[in-house]
Order: sequence, then C-alpha cells, then structure tokens
Amino acid sequence: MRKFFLFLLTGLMFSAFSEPKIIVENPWIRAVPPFSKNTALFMTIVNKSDKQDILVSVKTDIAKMSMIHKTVEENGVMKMKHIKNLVIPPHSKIELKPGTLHIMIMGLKRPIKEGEKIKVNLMFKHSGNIEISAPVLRK
Amino acid sequence: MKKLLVIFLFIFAVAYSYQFYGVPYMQEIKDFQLTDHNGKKMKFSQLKGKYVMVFFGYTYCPDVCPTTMLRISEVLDELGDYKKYVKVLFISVDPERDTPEALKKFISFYDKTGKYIIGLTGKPEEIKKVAKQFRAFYQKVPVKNKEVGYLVDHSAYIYLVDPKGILRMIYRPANDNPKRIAEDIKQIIKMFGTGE
Repeated sequence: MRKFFLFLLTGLMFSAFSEPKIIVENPWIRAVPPFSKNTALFMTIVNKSDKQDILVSVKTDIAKMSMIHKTVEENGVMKMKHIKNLVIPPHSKIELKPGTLHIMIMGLKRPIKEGEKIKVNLMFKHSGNIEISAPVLRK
Repeated sequence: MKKLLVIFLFIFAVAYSYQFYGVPYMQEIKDFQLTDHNGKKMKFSQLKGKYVMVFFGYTYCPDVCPTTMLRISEVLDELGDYKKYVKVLFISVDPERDTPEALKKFISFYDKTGKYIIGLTGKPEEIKKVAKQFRAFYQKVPVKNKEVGYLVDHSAYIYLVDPKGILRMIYRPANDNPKRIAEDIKQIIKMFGTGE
C-alpha cells in the first residue's frame, strides 16, 4: 500500500514537472477609432516548461472572430498570413507585436475605449484555457 | 555668381553631412482628383505649396494602418514649428467600405485638430490610377468568416511629396521611427525651402 502510494506520488510529481507552464506577459489591445471593426491583441507568451505548447485558438466576447495572424512584408506590401497553430517551444518566449505576429480581432461588436480592460481566452493544447485581461492602449 | 556658388556649396554641405533615413526619390506626381473625408472633390494640386506625406490604407485594417497612422501622428508632433508646412493624405485602398464619413472618423482619431490629415476615397478605378502613380499595390483577401468580410493586403510605404509635386522620399514599413522621419522632413525643408 505504501509502495503504491509512493508510486502515485512520484507519478504526480513527474507529471507536475513535465506539464507545460504558460505565462502571458504584457497583453494589450490596440485602441482604434470608435467605428472600427478590427483591431489586434499583442502580448508575450512565455513557456517555462520542458514541453512545447501550442496556442490553438483565441476567443473574446467583444468580437465575432479572433485569429492568429502574422504580418509579412513582401517588397513593401504588407500581407496577412493566417497561423493555425502557434507553437511555443520549451523554455522560450514568443513576442506578438505590431507588424509581425498578432491576434487579429475581427468584427468588434462594440467600440472599445482606451484604458478599458478586455477579457480574452487563450486556448493552449496542453495548458488548456488561460484567461487574460488586456488593457486597450493607444500605442 | 559668387552668391549662387555659396548657396550651391551650402546645399551640398547639408546634403553630404546628413544621412537620410528614407530612400531619396525623384518623380513628378501628376495631378489627380478624389473625394475627401467631407465628401468634397479634391485635387492633389490643391496641396501645392505643402510637403505631403502620402499613405495608402483602409479603415478596417487591423495591424499595419493603425500602427503607421500612429507613427504619422507622432511625426507631426515631432515636427514642431515645421508642422505647418506639412499635410498628410490617407488614401483608401478599400473605397467600397471607406465612405467619406468613415474616413472622417478614422482620421480624426489620429489628428484631433483636423488640420493636418486628409482622408481620400473615390471610385475604385480612380483609386487604381492614383495607386499606380505611386506604384502602390493592394489586393482584397477574403476571410473565412463571411460576417467579417475581407482584408486588404497593401503596400505600406510612406511617401513624401514636395511643394512642387515631386516625390522626394520613400519610407519602407520597417523605417517608421517618427523622430527620424521628422528629422528628414526638417532637413528637406531646409534644403528645398518651405514651399511658401
């Protein structure tokens, strides 16, 4: 019985250490003119575990649709590339910032105000759902 | 003659001592007419005498245009006393959705005074002609979710046209440091005059 308990404990510890640990730093949503239908979310995603994790979807109540996008410059033309799965390698961080990777928030249901905080749910393949609160900033 | 030589030497000295942040260019922009954010017809030649920063974009743009427009408003702030010699043209590459009213709301977000930024839209074929002159490219990109419509891939250069209608400088999307752009504009004004 004691052996079994020890086995269980080790197992638990092992799984706790191997679980991906995702931390979202400095999220913010860009302030846009009041009638604008689209904006973007930026943040740094840190993976502090030994396992990679994948951001698979993003949801917020304020918009009809959110997608992981990457702005790519080709001869001065800014093109939007849809990223299906954003891989966060172990012990690394991925920065989502203007002009490159970002979460595109499309079809805003209401105007967003500078300074207000918006709840966003990030769904990771291994870490599950992480809820963040992103301020609306003019920058 | 001596005076001319001194002026000439001065221009050369300024030109060679200053390294431009943008890419110098020289091309005459032929006059064109579009509709401004107040719904009035406007000719490009009406801006003669001003330095004009031109940017092609659209109000539904989620990432690139809001960034560039913020940078442009920062350039205007950085210009200080030189601001009065400059105007900004935001030309829509999405005329179907960018009505004058939409443009008015959009530009007022980046220019509270309403004095410096002008939004322009027009018939698709009119826009096409203007974009061609600037070698600006744009293309509709459908989005899977039909409710949210489409996006537009577009070139995101900032063009600087001088008071005589000559395109003088081009800024690539990566070269969007407002301080450096403002510094360039001040230098150009010193070299070529205020236009007044």
